[in-house]
Amino acid sequence: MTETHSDITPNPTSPEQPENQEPVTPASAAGPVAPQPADNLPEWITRDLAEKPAGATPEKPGAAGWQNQAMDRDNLGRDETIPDWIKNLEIHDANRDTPIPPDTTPEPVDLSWLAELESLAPEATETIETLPSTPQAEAEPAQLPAWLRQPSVQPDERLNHPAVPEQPTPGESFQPKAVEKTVDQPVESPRLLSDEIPTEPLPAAPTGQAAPTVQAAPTGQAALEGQGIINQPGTGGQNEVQTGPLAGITDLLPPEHAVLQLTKPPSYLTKLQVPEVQQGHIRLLEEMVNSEATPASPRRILLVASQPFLRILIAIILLAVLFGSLLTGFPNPQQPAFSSQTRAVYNAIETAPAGTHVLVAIDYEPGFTDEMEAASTALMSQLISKGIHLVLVSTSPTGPMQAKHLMNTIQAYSHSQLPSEAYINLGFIPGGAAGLASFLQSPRELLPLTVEQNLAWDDPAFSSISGTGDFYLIAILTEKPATARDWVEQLQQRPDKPPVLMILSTQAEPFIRPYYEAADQQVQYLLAGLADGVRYENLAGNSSVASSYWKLYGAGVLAAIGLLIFFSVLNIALMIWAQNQARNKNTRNNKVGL
Amino acid sequence: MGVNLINSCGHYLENHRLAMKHQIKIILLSAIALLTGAIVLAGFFIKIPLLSEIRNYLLRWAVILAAVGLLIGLKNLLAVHWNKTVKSQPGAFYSVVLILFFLVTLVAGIIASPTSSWSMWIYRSILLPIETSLLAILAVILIYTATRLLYHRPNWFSFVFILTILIVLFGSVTILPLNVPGLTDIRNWIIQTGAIGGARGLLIGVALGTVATGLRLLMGADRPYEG
Repeated sequence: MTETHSDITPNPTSPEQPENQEPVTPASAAGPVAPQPADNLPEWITRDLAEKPAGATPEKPGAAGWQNQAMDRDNLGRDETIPDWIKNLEIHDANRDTPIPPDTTPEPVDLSWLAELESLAPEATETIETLPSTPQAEAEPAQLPAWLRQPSVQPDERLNHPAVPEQPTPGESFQPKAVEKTVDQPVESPRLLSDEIPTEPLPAAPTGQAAPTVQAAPTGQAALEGQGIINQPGTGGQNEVQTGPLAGITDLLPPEHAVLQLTKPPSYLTKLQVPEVQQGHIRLLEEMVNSEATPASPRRILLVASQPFLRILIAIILLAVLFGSLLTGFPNPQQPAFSSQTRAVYNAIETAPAGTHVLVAIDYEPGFTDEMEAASTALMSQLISKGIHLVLVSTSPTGPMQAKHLMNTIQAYSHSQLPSEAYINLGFIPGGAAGLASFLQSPRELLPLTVEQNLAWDDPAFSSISGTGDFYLIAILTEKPATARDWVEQLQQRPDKPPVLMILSTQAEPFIRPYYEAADQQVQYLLAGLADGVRYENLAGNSSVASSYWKLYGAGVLAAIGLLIFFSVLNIALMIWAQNQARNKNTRNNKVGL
Repeated sequence: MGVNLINSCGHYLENHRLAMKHQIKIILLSAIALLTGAIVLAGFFIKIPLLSEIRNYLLRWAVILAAVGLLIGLKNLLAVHWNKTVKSQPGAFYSVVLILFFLVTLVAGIIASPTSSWSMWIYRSILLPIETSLLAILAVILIYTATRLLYHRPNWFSFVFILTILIVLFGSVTILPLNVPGLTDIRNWIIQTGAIGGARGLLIGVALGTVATGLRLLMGADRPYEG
């Protein structure tokens, strides 16, 4: 169902309407097009049409003379040959004739531009006038609009007709629909200029106040508003044309938002809701960022907590204790207790026949020389004193010099020159485990020369050696567990393997002791560290290197124990103090932040 | 176009020749390594005089090759520090010192012997004090680190660690005023039971790793000789 804006225009003269309601001018009253299909018109219009005779031209009592004339003009030439769509247009035109109070005094509008246009294009006017009249035009001259039939009327006079009252009074409605109609149908622009363009700016509807017409409008008007055919009242003042010939006309063009935005735009919350805790964090972060730009004051570090100071202090204390012990002889630790494994080694050396050979592997680094020599000097001295010939080898490049240094130490503590046949230094065995295996397979072929480039096996003391089985004992001096393991593994597969004596540093003892404590011993004798060296010296009755070191060793251990306890307690106190400081700082920061 | 085709064919044939050469080299090296390993391994288990003789020869070759490898390593060390000295790179002074003492030691060892008075003077005056001093510094650092342990990691493991150190140190030296009955027994138990238990685990792991590595080499899975 299509409703026009005229359908909602109340008729003030209708007796059926209440007094306070606007009179309705039904479209059917304008001519013979009154019998419209009942489904296209509201029920109240059809009823009104039925009450009035067809062809009657009611004269509005309140209408002005020009209005009645227009109504007569619309009725001219209406017959059955007019198509229905033209009739509908005429109905619309008739309904567009709104009652205009005659007493309104419109202000003249400057339409000189229209006269200028006519003067600039006289040919067009003449062309229109000289067009050959069609038969239909001749037969129906009354259908011409009034402004064509009255060319003498000046545009200014025609435009002076007030379209709407200046102020809508109660009972009257502001009707900008006619203007919108002319915009939607530009074909009827001449009529618009003559009859419907208001001569003065339309009064703006009060903001936020709905017009009475809107309040009384039926539901169909809302549909028209939604389609953009008419504008919603109350917003006309916001769409007033500011420039051009249509200046002052409101609601002439549909506002863009009415076309593009049919729904209410969503509103978003733009204010950030920040709780107090987060505000405190923000302040803390700002303080941190600002503090980055400020130069930090020198951090105060406790002197006792600085690393270099502690290291130097520990070194000084250790040196002082050692020098003090060296000078005073304090402390005097007890000799290490008796050990069965040391006794076994001693018994093995004591029972060794003179003239036999012992293979000695010197496989420790120079840094461990003191410890290894302290553990082995007494044993080596015993071997040499018993007339046992030593064959010195090494799997370390510095081994030959280590062996020479050990022999020099033994000679220094024995206070006698070692015999030339006491030992031969075969030097370095390259190749790691493979070289070791090759040496144990055939020592003569692998190392035929001594370090001094002499023929090793031509000496009568060593000429009897042809293989590993010719050694009475194999003594391995090392501080490295890997080297000791290589010797054990390469000797293990020798069928003529002699007993193995391991003289180890204290740090390597745990790794080699499993070979010694196994049921099938791969290491038969074991000496480890300075303590076993002292035990062996006590058994041998030969106080040499180990015994001279024992006092200083005891003093150093005591100093280490004291330093460890003291600085551990100190560091625990510093740690607790630092934690308290950090806790207090966090507490202050939290207070500042909150 | 014909020239390009000929060049392409030439490049292809050259690349193919190089690839084949590399492949043959890999196959040859793998065959030598596998055969050598198999012979040496078999010499441990199979008592055949010829096999043992071949095995001994191979082991001697290995010793000679290791000695040559040591010389090559020394030559490379000298070349690196020589280049560093010539190019005046950072630390060039230390390279000069290294080259100088390398030459001095080499001359002393070659002219006299590794155990001559010159070589022993170098050993006693330079090598021995330096390495001993390093161990002395290690003692200071170990004490310092142990004391800082409770500061940085104040937990029960740190306390147990420090307590174990103290017990072992107290048990190492018997000093009358500080002699605590049974402390030496506790120290011996720690060393001969606790420490040996861990050491045995390490040894078993090392042995298994060695066997696995040897098998991979013998089967050709690892070919470090390919370069």
